[in-house]
Amino acid sequence: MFDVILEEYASSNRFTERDSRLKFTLGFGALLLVSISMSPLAPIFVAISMALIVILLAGIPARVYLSLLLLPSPFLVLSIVAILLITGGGNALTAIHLGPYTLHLSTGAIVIAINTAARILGGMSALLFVALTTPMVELFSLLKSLRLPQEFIDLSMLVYRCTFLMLAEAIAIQNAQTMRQGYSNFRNSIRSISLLGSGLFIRGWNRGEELLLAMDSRCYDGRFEMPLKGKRMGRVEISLVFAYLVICGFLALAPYIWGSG
Amino acid sequence: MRESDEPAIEFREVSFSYPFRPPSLRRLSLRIIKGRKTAILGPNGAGKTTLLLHCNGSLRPDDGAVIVKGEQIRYDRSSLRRIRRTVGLVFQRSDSQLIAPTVYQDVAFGPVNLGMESEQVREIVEETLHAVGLSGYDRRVPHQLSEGEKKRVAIAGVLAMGPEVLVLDEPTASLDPAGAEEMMDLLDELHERGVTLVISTHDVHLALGWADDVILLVDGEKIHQGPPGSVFDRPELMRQAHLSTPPLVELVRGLAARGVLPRDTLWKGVPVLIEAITEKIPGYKRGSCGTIYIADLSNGVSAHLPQLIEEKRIRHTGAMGTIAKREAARHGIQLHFTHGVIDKCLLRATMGEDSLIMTTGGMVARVRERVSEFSLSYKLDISIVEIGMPGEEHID
Repeated sequence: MFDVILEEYASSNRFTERDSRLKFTLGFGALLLVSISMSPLAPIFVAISMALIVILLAGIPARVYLSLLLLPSPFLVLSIVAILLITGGGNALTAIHLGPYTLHLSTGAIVIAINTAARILGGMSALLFVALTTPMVELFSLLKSLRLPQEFIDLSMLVYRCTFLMLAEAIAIQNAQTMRQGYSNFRNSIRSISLLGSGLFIRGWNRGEELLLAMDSRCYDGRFEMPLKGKRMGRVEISLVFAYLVICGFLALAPYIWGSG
Repeated sequence: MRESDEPAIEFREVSFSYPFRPPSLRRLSLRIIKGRKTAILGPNGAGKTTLLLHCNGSLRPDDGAVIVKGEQIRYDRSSLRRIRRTVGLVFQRSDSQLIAPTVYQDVAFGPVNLGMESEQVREIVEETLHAVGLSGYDRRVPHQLSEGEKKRVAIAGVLAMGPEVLVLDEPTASLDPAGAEEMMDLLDELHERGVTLVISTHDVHLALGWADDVILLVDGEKIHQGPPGSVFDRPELMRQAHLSTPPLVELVRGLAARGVLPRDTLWKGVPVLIEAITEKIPGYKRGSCGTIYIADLSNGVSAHLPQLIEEKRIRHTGAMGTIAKREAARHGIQLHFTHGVIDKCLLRATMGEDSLIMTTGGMVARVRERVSEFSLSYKLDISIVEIGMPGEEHID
């Protein structure tokens, strides 16, 4: 259900109507700089500033933002533990004895772990900025301005529209099954989910035929209108995005220039 | 009938069956007259949807012919495009009709595929959304709209191609009662602009009040066609078509059987029915009638209007048509009636109360006509005051 919630917020926040190209430049620019950054400085800056931008400027509730940000936390914890115990370098701090094996925790590992955690948080924040401020529909215009084939864009628009219909169908089937004890135990769940799958396939097929009929009824001739364009980007916006990326870039590249400790 | 009897769509001995199924249409012949409001009534599975899908060539008859504007449908690509431009089809389920991710794109779908320029498309979409009362919905996504709004978008998508005939499959099926009445009001507005309308329904009450012409369909066969009165007056037809008789029809039928009322009273609307009954009551004293104010909101709401409502103590206000409704809402004028407005205001007037009808364009004349016709035939002194018309009474 997260995709639906994301879409709801993306299409109703204070950044919704800003130029999508600008939002993409900001989001993916930050993501790029986060991933090439040597120090944790730039990722932490991105994580904090993006959180502030999304919550305070775009007006996404902090609770929603945090719950989305915490989505990759199991992955984060697992990889940090692995990095701490497996990578080496620097001075050994403690040793853990596991039967015949000995695992060392070293200062080098801690540096790498901090870097990785910061990158994950920073990268996640940059992606969330794009996901939470840019409605899917804007993405189609962006694809168009990136000169992707029209057929590809048309198809993605149809897929987008149908996703929500199929989701509604799936929820309806699942409700009907749950009401009749379809998920009361493991055995039933397996059977129900397979029925749901096949039911969805048949309904999807019917939907497809209805869609064809609908398009034919309206004289489909291979043309699909693009969404209305949002506001044009202004000079102030462009300079703000540029300034932000310069700061990120400075933080990311500073250790290269002055040499890291 | 004022209009000519030229058929917009004609079925000649049309038979059709889906693969491995008993026939859905059996040698069906019928004529849908241009400029009329036709309702196709019948039980579930009677073939209503199948019939409608034949109107724009979506289904091809196994046998027989469908004729649109005097020309038999040919089923090649370019002929079908022409037919579908003339006959617009609105499905029962709006979700299967809405194709595009945004309202703007969806309404633009037809015009774009008809090869119009983007400036023209934009103009048409704006105009059409305005006509169905959804201005400013361009960027909305269909899955966030209510059922009634989706239906309006679906209608707009078809209207944008400029059809002469609009065919709607169960237009009120998924709407609540008030939503259904407003949908019918919208259809009346489209009819006012010269669109021939065909709807399928099993809502007897709705067909009774709305249609000029009713076709009864049972098991793929037409069992009757005629004005609503001719259908609802015959219990055996109603039974055959699995339709229930509305209580009001039972009432009039009962009174007519006792010789109290002429049989045709009901088809003229509730105000006429009440007049006809009160006339028969000995010693019934009528006070003087109220005034019906008619305001034309084509050019927006004049500053005087709220003032006038205040000054003249107009207790009842109603709006007809999407534009009038929106304008009234925008200026904070409370609306008591949003459907069946003329009848309701006539009833108030006969009870000596004043009311205001807000509407636009050609509907002003229709309101005036209805009111004066009613007033004249029952020798009532309902006064009509028009507001905001050039050269007419001006209120200061």
